Amino acid sequence: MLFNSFIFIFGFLPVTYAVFWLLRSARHRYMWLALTGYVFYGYWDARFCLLMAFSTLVSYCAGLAFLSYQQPRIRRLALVVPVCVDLALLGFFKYAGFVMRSGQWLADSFGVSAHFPVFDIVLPVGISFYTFHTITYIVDSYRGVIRPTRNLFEFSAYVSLFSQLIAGPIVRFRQIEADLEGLGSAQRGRWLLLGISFFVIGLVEKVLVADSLAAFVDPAFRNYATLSTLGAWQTMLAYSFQLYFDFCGYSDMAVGLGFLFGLRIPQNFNSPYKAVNPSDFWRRWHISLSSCLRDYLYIPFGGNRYGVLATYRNLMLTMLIGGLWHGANWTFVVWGGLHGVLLCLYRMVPRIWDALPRLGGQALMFVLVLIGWVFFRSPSFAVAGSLLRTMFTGVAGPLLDNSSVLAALLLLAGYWAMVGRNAFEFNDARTWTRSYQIAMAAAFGACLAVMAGGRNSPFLYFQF
Amino acid sequence: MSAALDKQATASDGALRPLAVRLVWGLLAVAACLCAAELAARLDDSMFHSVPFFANPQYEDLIMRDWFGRRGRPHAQFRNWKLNSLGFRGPEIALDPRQGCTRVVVMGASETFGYYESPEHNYASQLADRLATQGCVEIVNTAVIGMTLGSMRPYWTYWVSRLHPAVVLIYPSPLFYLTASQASAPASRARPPLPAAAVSAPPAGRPAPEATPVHPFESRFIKRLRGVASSVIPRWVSMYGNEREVRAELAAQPAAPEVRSPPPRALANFRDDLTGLVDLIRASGARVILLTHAQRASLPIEPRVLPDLWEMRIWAPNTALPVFVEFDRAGNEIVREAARQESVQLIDAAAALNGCFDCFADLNHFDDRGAQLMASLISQQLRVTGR
Repeated sequence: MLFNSFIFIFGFLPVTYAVFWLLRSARHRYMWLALTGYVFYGYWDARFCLLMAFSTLVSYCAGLAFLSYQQPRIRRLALVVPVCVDLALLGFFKYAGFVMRSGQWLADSFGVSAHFPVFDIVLPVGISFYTFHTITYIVDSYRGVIRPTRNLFEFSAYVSLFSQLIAGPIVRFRQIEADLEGLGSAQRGRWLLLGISFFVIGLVEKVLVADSLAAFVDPAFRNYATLSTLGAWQTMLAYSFQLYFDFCGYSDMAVGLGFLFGLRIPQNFNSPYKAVNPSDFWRRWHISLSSCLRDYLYIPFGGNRYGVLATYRNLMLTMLIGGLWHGANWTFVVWGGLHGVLLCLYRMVPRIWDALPRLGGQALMFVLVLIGWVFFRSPSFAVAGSLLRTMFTGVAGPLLDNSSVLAALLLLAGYWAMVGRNAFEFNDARTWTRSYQIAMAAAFGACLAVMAGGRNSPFLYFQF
Repeated sequence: MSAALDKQATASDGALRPLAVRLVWGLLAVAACLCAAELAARLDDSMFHSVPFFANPQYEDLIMRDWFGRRGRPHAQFRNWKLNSLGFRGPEIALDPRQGCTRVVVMGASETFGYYESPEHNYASQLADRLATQGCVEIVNTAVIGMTLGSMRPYWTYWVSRLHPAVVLIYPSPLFYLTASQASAPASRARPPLPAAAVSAPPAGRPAPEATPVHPFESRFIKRLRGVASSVIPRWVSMYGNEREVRAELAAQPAAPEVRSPPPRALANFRDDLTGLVDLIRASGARVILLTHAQRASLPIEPRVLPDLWEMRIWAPNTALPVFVEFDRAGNEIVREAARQESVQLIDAAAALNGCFDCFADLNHFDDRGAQLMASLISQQLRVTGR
């Protein structure tokens, strides 16, 4: 069930919303949110609900152990075991095939006669996200940053909250704890309009911008070998904006849905294409992931506390793992590595980078990010290599089909992403006047019309 | 007394006014939503499907009646179906094959034209993609919705043969002959007459693109919503509706006997038209490859395909449900026999795909997966050269 589907907007959401506000106690609301989360998740594949339930129970029990035992040894055990269980689940479903393929490749490369089994495992949708939710909960409980909850339904509602379940944002328990605790006294009207506004803006980003760009990107990638240099640049420009508006649209819809249920979900994108350096970019792009990588990988690795070389090593390690988190493919690792190198470079020569005029820094950062997306989007190094060659070696040929429409879309998307206001800035500056409500209604109608045309595609981050 | 009433009226006015204002703004919001939706639907069609903003395209725009019969209208477009300047699905082509390329023409009806598949996913398109790595092979999808083997004969003689194909794949639809053998379909389902092209002589060279007929205004947003609604209605609900429609039709003509087995006359017509078409094409020097017709249903009939059979029965109300499967099977036997007798290659799609529930969107039409399997089957067995 996609947020941009009729079944969600006119079926699941109204029923979930109406029953939620009819219920009065926090306990009932937790139960309802947990139940609807499982219905939402089970709509893809009901079998995987068991997996999520298991992961939830393991983490919940770890929380109880932290509440009950103060001995360091037991606490360490209560940290290590459930985190390993969660990582094992993630590793098996997401990375087992990748490890086998890589092992086979290595064996073949060195002429070793070995036969690695081929796994055909279906990746449970959103497993990377809810595993992160449970791991951050366990680690924060261990560190004493949060007090674990004794209420299974509250914890279950947190893990399976449908608005953030499939593609994030990765909301840490501490960020949402206060709202969850006060769910019984939440007021329906308080954030209703704000919720609608975020949801509609997200829908516009996804349906009108990202999906329209996808109509150019997908065929271009299918025929990547026949692209000209201009066509390849058009493709990558379109993909850069498609990815941003797709994921940002999803995050904004998730924030809006959170508001509708009295939960404040934090900002996940802060106009990342306005970034002027790599560090700035990672403070703006997928904020919930980058802050998790910082707090749960980079800092535990040692951060910048052990000298310059160790700092670079930690940065690289963090970004390589971050890349691998996105998908079980070496192209993602290279993408992560590329950003690791950029972050190290920025750390080495910040003055040179910062001396660039703002527009120059923004343009340079955008081009570097765009080159990184080549690896992110390509299914293999062969495709990535071919695209990069085409982009930088001057291959003659036509532009993409329907280029005038693409140019108009790129202008619109470029302006919005690089100059315009994001959903948070938009809502901060906005009061709900009548004309704004009419504009929202019109935007919603336009999205419905395009959705009904059958061009909507799944969110790109679902695959992670 | 009067002052008290005035006060009461004022108070009640005061309460009503905000409600009225809210109602007006609410209506305005709904109006804005609908107007924006219509505008967006038209812009979307215009930007991504080249449908003129003010046009009101209809299904019938895809087909025109030429002097020899039906064919695709050049440059026609409806929903995601797009025809090229010769009125065929697929990319632009010249009348003559490219130098050094083998041209393969695919003839058939809506199953071949591609009804439910995503854009460029009908089996002919997928076949072209698969063969792209095996030298220069041009696949031309000449299928026309609703085309029988009988109507393919003039279509071949006066139009398709001018493409000079080396190979012709024929995917016949036997069930046309079953439905044609019955009384006319219910008036509610009858398609409106096709616009005539009014061409008095065979078209010379590339025909000039025709203007799309002008239709009265119809909301494209509502049309899109109808499409969404029909896709979410559960199959058992649509089956119930179809069953009711068939029963009403039968009640209106109680004297008509029920057809309980494949009508021999209809099968004979199918055989005659098939062999006639094969002979005609072979006489031109092209090599013919026959395909058997695949269906979602197989014998014995599974309950889950009943909605598809009831949908089919709308077109032949007097026919018992199993006959739709038996007739198709008998038709396929005729195709196999014709292939043997005429010594032409046969690709047995029915043997490979019959009964595959997930390969079809209804009884006869492929979905993306079915089209993919069909393309794979043909690409494995297609011999582009030789006789």
